[in-house]
Amino acid sequence: MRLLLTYSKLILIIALIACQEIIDLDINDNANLVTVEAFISAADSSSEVILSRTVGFSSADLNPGLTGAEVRLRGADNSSYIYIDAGNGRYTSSRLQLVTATPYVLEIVLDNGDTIISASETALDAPQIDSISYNSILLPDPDFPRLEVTIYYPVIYLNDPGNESNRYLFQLYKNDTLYSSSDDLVLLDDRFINGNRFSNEFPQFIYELSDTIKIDLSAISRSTFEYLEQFKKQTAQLSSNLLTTPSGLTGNLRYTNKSEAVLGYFGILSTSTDVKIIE
Amino acid sequence: MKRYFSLLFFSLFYCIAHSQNLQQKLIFANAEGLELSFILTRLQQQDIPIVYSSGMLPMSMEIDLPATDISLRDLLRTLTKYGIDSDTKGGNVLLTYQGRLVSGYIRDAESGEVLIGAVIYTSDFSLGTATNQSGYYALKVPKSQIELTVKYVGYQATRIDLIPDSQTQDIGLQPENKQLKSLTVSSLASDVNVKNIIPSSHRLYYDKKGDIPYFLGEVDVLQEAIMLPGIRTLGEDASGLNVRGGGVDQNLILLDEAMIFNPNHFFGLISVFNPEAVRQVTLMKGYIPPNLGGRASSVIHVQQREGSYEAFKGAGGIGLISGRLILEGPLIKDKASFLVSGRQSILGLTTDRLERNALQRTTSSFQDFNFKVNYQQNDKNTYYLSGYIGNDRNKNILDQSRRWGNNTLTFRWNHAWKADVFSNTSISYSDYNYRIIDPVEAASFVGRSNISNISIKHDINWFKSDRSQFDFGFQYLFHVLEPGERLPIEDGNSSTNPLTLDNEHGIEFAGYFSHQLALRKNVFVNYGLRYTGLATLGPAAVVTYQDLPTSTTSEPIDTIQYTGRSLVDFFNGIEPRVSLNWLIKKNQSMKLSYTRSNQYLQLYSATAIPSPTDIWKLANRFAPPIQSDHLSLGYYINFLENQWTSNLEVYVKSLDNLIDYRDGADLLFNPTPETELILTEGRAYGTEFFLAKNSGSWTGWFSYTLSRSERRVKDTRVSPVLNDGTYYPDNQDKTHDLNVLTKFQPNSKWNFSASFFFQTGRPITLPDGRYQINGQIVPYFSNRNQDRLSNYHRLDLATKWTPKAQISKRWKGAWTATIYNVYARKNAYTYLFRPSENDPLTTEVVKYSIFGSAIPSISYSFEF
Repeated sequence: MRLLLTYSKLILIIALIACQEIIDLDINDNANLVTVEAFISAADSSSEVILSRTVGFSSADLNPGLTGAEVRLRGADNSSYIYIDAGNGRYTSSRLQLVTATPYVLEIVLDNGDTIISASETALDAPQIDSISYNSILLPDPDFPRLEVTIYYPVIYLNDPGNESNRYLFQLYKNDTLYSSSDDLVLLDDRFINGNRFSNEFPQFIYELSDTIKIDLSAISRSTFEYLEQFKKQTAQLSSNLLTTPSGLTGNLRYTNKSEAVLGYFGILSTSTDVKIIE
Repeated sequence: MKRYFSLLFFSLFYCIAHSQNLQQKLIFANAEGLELSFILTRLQQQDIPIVYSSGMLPMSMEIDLPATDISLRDLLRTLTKYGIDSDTKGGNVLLTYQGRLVSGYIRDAESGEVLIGAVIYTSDFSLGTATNQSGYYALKVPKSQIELTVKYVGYQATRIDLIPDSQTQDIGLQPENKQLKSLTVSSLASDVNVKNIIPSSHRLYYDKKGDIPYFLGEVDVLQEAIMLPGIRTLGEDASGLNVRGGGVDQNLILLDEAMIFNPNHFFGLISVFNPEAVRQVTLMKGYIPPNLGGRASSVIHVQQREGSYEAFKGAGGIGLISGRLILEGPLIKDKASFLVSGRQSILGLTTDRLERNALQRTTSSFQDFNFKVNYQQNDKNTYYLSGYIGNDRNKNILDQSRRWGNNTLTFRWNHAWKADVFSNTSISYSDYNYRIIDPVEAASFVGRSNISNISIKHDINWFKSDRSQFDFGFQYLFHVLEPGERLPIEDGNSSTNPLTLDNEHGIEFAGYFSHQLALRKNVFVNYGLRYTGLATLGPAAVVTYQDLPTSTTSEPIDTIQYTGRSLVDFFNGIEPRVSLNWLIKKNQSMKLSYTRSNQYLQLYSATAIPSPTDIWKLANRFAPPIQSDHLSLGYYINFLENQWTSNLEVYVKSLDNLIDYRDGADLLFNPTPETELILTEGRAYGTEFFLAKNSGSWTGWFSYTLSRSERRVKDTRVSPVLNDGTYYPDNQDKTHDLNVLTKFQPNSKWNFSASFFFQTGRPITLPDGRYQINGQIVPYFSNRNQDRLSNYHRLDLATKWTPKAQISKRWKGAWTATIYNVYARKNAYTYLFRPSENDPLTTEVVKYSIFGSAIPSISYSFEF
């Protein structure tokens, strides 16, 4: 029986080999759409909006920036902030003073006269982090399976306000290096925890002894949450048996004068940060 | 006196006239094999005044005349030999049939198990019938008939002597040489494929060892099904079957009449049916008789074996994936028997190779248990109790786990009211549930969902004559659906708020009538009507919207509360069904059929591949019942005394009220899933070819399907309008599908087999471009399913060695070695689009394969 089990495991291990392979695929990628990337931090006075165009999926080119546009952020309180063309599709502003609970709209006039406008987004109160902690677990060493190593993963504690719906975005750093892939965006809707003190574990982020855990916690609107959720699904690695049907990401921007799609998103993040060293 | 002379004159005239009639010569084109109905038609054409009741005469009985030129007197004498008596009254020839009705069960002579679909007929083939789903037959034969012939696949054809003056007679058939017995498709074994009035049906008989290549040597009930034309799966890691363009929820899967909601273990790689416990599988993918319904595409009826009435036995097997054992035997000799079987996975299995983090990799396991008890009270009453319990478990090192499974329990009562009137009454319970335990998430929780139903079904078969059979009955299904419950984990630390979605209650009902009739000697029809409906009942809270839930302007405007058991929604429909079989020659037939089906239960699954945690929902005002109209035409021909059988079928199917999903739809614990749905309509059409060699040391089959399956958005007010409202390929659309199976059995010890699969790659959505957000490359997708994965093909090999019994005379074992994916084809399961690892500013396409190498395996099966 022992022999059979050993043999069986061997067979199954063999079965797992070489299941991913990079291939050349002939993709008919003709899209040439304007993309707007405008995630603005409510607390920062400076921010950046990036305008570009799509390129072929398999193209070696970078997305070309769109210059010569007029970019303006308008508040419902009649505030207005003009973004300066910094070249290569980047537009910056360093004088923002966003006011909590005030809706803002992003307006863009392209150099060909086409106008793009966003849905309104509201600056929310930044959530408060109670504390950061970590858990540990013993796992076989990948190089020496007979040995075990201790790995650590973060745990965050916070209070969710009970009188409103909240949505959160967690971004984690390991020794000041952001876990930057879209798979690393952690999104949380409070519909199951509304009004409760809760903890959230992050076993997908592995740390070692003496590493520094840093977590940015942002309050985001429902539409931003839904956009980022789709963004993550469409760009992150997919699990083997839960493949999401690929689809175009629908943002909150549109042309005022034509029906062509505008890609990207305008969102406002209200962020708190905390750190913890693993000791 | 006047009156007396009048009577004398009339009698004399009558006698003269009658004498003249009896002398009348009749000429037939040939003398042998004339159907009685044909002879009677000829008599009427020649103005011979015959009187008879068509229901009382064996109209399809074949008569051999002594000559083609024959007098009426000699003809009537000949008919007397066939039990048809004649008399003269009022100048008419009155014909009556002195037949006797014979009825009973046909069984396996060794185990006592009933045989479904066994054929019984008079030795001159003039009369015959087949056993019904309970193994019961009724046949009216001439009184002079003293023997009948009985045939069944895998059993020795047997002639039996009829017991004089007995109306009931059970018949036992001896199995053929077990060493030669193997899995056989019905159409491989006889001319059933030509004569069966139900087109597009396959019957799979199971030998417990199996001798074709199975995945990792795991004998599987449904693996052969996907080698038949028109039946496929989405991929190697996908649950369920797609039949002629239908979704996985469009198959009525029955285990001893109880509904099975998820037919797979281990994400689709193995079926839930323990092969040791299965007697046969009947697959109806085209015409569905009126006694069955509730799904839009097919019926897959799995019948569990009965335990042996004769002796205590055991069987089992062990392979890389699971071990299984079955025990059976008599409870009361010749009266009652039992069967129990169990199966357990051996190793923790995984398909989660994409998870980068060891903490999130999962392992899976499964178990199942079957039992069946049957009791023959007497000739008229037999009772069955059978059940199934199965579950799968998927878990990672952090104890995040998912568990799911089917459970069924069926009680059946077979009763022969009269020799020619038989009924089957069943009460069955089915449920499917899943449970998610997540101690890690922000709100650690236990989530669960459940669907259950109780079915009460009553079917009556009336064997009116050898050419006419009526079936009628009804069914009630009481559904209770618990779409979702999310509760705090019971460790005291969970901060989750409990959430319980409203239960759904519904009563689904069906009443049907069908008539199977021989219109002519070579034309048979099965027609009928099925009236079905669904009433969903409160308590319920139904959200109403300004417009469609998924339209661009829609907002919830109100919630309607239904209290008590008030009616929430009501749907009903009439489902006409008709199938015509024209027997062109003894070995050729043409079949035409039409089936309408309504489906009141749908699986909500927003992923490309179905998941065990998908949600079943009753039809409602936002997602009305699926309606399917299915037309098929088939030509069947056999060669060389049925050694070769073949058929060519074309079909077209339209489907209404299919559901598709908004981009990124989230259905788990969603109280308003209607906001994620997009109603679509579908169409499927194709051509299927099947050729099989049935006997000799080389056997096997070839099947090919050319088909399309497409859908489009029904209402363009929804958002988004997928593919601009035009037809787009369904996920299971595979244009070409070719399968070849060949088996070589040089002697009773060795068996070699090979199977080859080829399929067009399934539809996939490729990006039209890319852009960047937050430093991440984002693929841009526009229209769905406009491209395809690369073609799928695979070769599997197997060999089985059956040594002579060594441990004891009772113990018999066999070793099976298989190689799955012999030439290590890396078939694409999906394509992943991601930034290049070497240059993150560029992109790469990664082909992901479930199996990337040849996989050898070995398994051992035994019986004692």
